[in-house]
Amino acid sequence: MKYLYAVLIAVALISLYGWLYIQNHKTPVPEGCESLKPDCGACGIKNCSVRKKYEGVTDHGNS
Amino acid sequence: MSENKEKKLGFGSQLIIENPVFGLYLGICSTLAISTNINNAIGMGIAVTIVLILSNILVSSVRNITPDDIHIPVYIVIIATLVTIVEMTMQAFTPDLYGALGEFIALIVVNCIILGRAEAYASLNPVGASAKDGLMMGISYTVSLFVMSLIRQILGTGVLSLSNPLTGAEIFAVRLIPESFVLSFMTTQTGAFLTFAVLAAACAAYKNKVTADDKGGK
Amino acid sequence: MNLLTLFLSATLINNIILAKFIGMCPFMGVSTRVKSAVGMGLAVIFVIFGASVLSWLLYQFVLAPLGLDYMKLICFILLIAAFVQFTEMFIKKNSPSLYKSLGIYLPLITTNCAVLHVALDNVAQGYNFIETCVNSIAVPVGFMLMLVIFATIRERLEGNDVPAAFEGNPIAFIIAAIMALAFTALNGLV
Repeated sequence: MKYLYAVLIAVALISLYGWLYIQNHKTPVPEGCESLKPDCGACGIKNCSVRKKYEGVTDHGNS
Repeated sequence: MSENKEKKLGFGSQLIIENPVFGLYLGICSTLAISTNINNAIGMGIAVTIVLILSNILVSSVRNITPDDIHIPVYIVIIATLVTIVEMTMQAFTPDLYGALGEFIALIVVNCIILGRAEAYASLNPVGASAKDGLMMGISYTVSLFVMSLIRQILGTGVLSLSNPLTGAEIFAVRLIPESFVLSFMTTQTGAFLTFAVLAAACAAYKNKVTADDKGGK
Repeated sequence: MNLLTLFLSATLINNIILAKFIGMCPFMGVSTRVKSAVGMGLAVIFVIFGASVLSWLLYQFVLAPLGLDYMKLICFILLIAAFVQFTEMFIKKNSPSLYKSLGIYLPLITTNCAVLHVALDNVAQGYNFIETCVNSIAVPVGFMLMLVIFATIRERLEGNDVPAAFEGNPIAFIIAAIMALAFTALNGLV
């Protein structure tokens, strides 16, 4: 029974996160914030998803 | 082009230039905190390597069935599960090491190396290559941690010692620096930042030299 | 424990960056401009407070009564990640101006070890609800303090003649070393 609760809690949290993640990505970015750039140039993580995303914005204009 | 360069440089140079810790500044938190003695460094290095290899294998094997929308949530779940397994295993079999590393084992979940490799490499490449990438990254991380803890332990305590992680019994201990010449601040936070700065600068200097040579050659 | 003592020790004496080395990644990456340091700092305060209090409630009322202590790591990271997503969505919908200043830092926070550290620490130390709230505010305040002090120093450092190998992050670590030394002077405060 205990393990069933464990699985249930995990599943509940995973689906909560997945749902919020999708909802968040569906929500449009407010006007005027489309080309915000994080000021993280000093960070050495070149393959960080945040940096890639924002560098992509400047490279292709409207992606 | 970068691939040619990597082949030309060989593993040793690549270890320095593309070093995840001193070159790319990944996983700094644990490096600074754990590197007070080599036992902790080796234990942490092995734990991270195991998680890295397994997470790369799992991420790579589900890469084709993961919807693109939720790939980050999937990776986080995979990594958190693996870390929980490693944490419980260490608690059971290496209690001393578990006590010494403490919270930093749990914090492997948010170690940038693991999520970074999952996203940048394992999500794009086949299982075998991803496992190898995980092993390589894990070794680089372990070596970096080992070098840093070696410097800090020898300068800070003057004693080089190693103990068995399973029993906690000492295997050997050699005093290299007489007690009155020991720089005890090397074991504190200041020593950690200072050692890290010097090692990172050494890495950068080597990188600068290699790129300068490359330009000179052309 | 006295709440003021708890606050001071979590902010200054056991400062998350200088004493525990947690949260170094954003610390090194974002601390080159005072403006972005403030933005990141505020985002971190909000997320740490919200996520840690929720984690504490989840642990106290769900995980502990069911004896599922071993689930805390996986539950906390999911809760933190979900909370970050929710916050980002909420800000997007309701306050574009806030999104402009904090929005870009929010996705960076999920993988900030400081958040997970505070959530785990509250449970490990056995804090009650009030102590959890105080600790969850005090730790990120200490983080923001460091971030802003550090950004100020690094702004000044710009254009100075630093040896080529030490340019960028290595010199920042030297500064951190000196600051850690300065902060050890506060050890006798409490």
